[in-house]
Amino acid sequence: MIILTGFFYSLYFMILGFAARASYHLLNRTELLIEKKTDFSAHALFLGIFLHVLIFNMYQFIGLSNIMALYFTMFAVVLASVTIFFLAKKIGFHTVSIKPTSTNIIALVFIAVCSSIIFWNGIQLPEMAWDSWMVWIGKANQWANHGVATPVYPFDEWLNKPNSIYNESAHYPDALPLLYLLPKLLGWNSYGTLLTFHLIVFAMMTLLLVSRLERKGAPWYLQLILVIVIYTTPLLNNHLMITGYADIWMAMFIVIIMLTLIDYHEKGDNGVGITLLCYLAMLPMLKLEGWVWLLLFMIAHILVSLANNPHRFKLLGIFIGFIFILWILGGLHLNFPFGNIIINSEKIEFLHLINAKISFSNITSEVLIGFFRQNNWSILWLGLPFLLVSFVANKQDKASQVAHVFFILALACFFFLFYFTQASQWAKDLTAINRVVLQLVPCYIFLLFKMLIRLNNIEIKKAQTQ
Amino acid sequence: MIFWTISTAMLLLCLFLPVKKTKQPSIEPFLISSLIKVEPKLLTYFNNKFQATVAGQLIMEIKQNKLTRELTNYDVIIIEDLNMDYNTQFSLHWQVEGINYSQILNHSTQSITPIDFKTTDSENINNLQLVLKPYFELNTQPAIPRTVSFSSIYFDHSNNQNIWNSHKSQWFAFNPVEINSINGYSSTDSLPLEGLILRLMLWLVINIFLYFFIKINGTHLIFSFAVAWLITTLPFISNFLKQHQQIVTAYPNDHEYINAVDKYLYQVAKTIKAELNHLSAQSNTPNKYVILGTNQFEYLRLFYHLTELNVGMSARFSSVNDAKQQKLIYILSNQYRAACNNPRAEIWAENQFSVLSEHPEYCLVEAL
Repeated sequence: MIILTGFFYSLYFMILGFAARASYHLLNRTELLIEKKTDFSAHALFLGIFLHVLIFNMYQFIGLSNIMALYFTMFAVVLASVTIFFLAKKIGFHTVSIKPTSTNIIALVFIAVCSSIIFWNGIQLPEMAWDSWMVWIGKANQWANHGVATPVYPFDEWLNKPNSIYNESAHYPDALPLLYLLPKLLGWNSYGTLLTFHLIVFAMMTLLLVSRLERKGAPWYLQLILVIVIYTTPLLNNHLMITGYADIWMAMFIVIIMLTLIDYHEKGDNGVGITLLCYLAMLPMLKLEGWVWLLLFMIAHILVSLANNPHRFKLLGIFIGFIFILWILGGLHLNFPFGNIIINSEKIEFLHLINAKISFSNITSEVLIGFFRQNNWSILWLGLPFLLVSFVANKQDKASQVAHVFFILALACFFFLFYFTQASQWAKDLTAINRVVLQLVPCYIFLLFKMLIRLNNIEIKKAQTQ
Repeated sequence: MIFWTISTAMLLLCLFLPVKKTKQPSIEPFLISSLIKVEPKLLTYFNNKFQATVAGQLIMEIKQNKLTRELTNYDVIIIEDLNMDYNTQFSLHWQVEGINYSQILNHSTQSITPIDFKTTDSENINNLQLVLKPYFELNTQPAIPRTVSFSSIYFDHSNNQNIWNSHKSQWFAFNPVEINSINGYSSTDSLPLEGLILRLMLWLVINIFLYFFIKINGTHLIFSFAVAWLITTLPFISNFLKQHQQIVTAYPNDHEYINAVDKYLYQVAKTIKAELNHLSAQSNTPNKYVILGTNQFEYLRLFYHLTELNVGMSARFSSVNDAKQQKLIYILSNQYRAACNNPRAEIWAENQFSVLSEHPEYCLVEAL
């Protein structure tokens, strides 16, 4: 029953996502082409998650009660189904019949077996992840009891505001609690439903990764090794088993953004562009550091555009000149009514998103423990120097450049955060240092496997597969 | 063919080459299981095996006057035929110049654990104890008596050990699910797979060099990566299966509660809820409730179990004056509970509240 509710819950998101795609094609009066059904379903699921959060944010904004929220959600599902039906009737959608290869079937079986084994352990566990029962599932519990529109405040504000509820992490974004809320409102076994649901989401992400590797010309064994690596990377596996933490969601959305970005550069389709924007918007809605990843995606995009610009050397000169002037002036100090932008040797402040004092802490030992000595990532990080070299040594298309530049920026940002700010305390207790890495790991695994395709004679097989 | 011949040889070399083979005069193992001092009914010897009964914590002292050998000559402790459930932990404790040290012993059938006594003088080592205790962190029934059996425990030198047995004991040692598992797969006190990971990484680096020098097909490199990955995955899968046993024994009937403390807090919360609902029925104004507590498991879980009510949590009492329009009822439990009996004993509590009700586990007070 729990598994069924998990599947139903996933189906709900897919319907929402499918309807969004259908609406886009209805508005444009273009035929919806479904090339690969698993790819389409994966994107429908991720898009549905974004829409669900948006819809529930709207309920909070207009102050709906829980029961009304349930009615409205049912109405949204009906409306979505009607939209899909309308598209099928009016314009129609075209599906390409692709016969699944034996690799596809083996990968699917492997994903199903791995998910079942993780479920086998996970379902026996209580909600034990600390942040989860206090913040993510915790807030969902509070809303289920007091109403989805009840505002949540930290202690002092809560004391002085009537009709409010308290949560120490009131300032954390609401997307995850809103994802966890609906099964509670429906009276389902919420923990089991969520465990199944997030295993399905992870499975869809894996299918999408395999599909992209296949498209890049990866041989069958590389695709299967990818699946094995994804499911047996110890800390990824642990976050799937002990459900409730936000980092695995960030990891899934970061990799989905990377894949969609590559798709967008390859196809240049507006629909893909809108999907990409929705996924990007999801980052700050999941966790506070989502703002950082969002900014890094934007910077990566700008940097790659500038690098491909014919005036790139002039632009580089201007940039170096700008840095030199900042150095002479002792940093950047801009005050706006909506926040400050301060960058100097003592602190970095960016609007209300980042405010960190700069002080060096040597956390090399903790980095080495987290990356290599604990069995968090097995032998995965050995590939990092080779990946960095391959990025410089090989000619990349623009989409791959953005993906690589984002990854390098993210790593640089990670090291800066833990070496130069007060976040070093979470490196020293080996908590966030591993969880932030986890957010980048699926993306790193994908780039690593993309690099392996370029090894001797692998690309010949690519030609054969095509 | 050349690649795989060299590569296989290198793999075996990387896996089984001892890292430090110190020159040590031949040394006899030192049996300590016969030197254990414990209440006889808690440790019996039957069928060539010691059977320890563990309910709570079992401390097995090693008779100090019988420690006649130079302990600092030994660098491993070995337990033969260890049979222990996955919610129990076996550890060695000792004292050197007043400082306490401990080492968790590998949980495998032949448990071989490296040991460093943190001194070069054996006479400094005091209070040598073997301790068996259940994991309280994830366990709803820690007090259930369990049986741990072993045939012998002895100190030895790593030179006397077969390298495969040492590796097997370390790599396949059980690593339990803990609340902190989500942050890192293992704690820094115990990094059982570190050696394996580093050895395999060295092998892969050799393979990468071979790939460039011999100029072979990339498939071989990918398969050597897959082999390395599978080797690290074997202990991972083995541990995953053991974790299942741990979880099933930790939560035999239900998995609603994290551990016994949580189960107790749920019951306390249930009583508090009933009482507060009764109080709120008598009051015209909506009440707000505050758990006086810090960011500790006991207070946070009480908060979690009380989320049906409009409850907050604070470590200080003073903020009560901020709210005028609503009745504020504080829940005092654990370390704050004592303030109900004697408010004058605590500076923060004096003339701050009137007591509404008192119970052994908690009391309810109304802020003045």
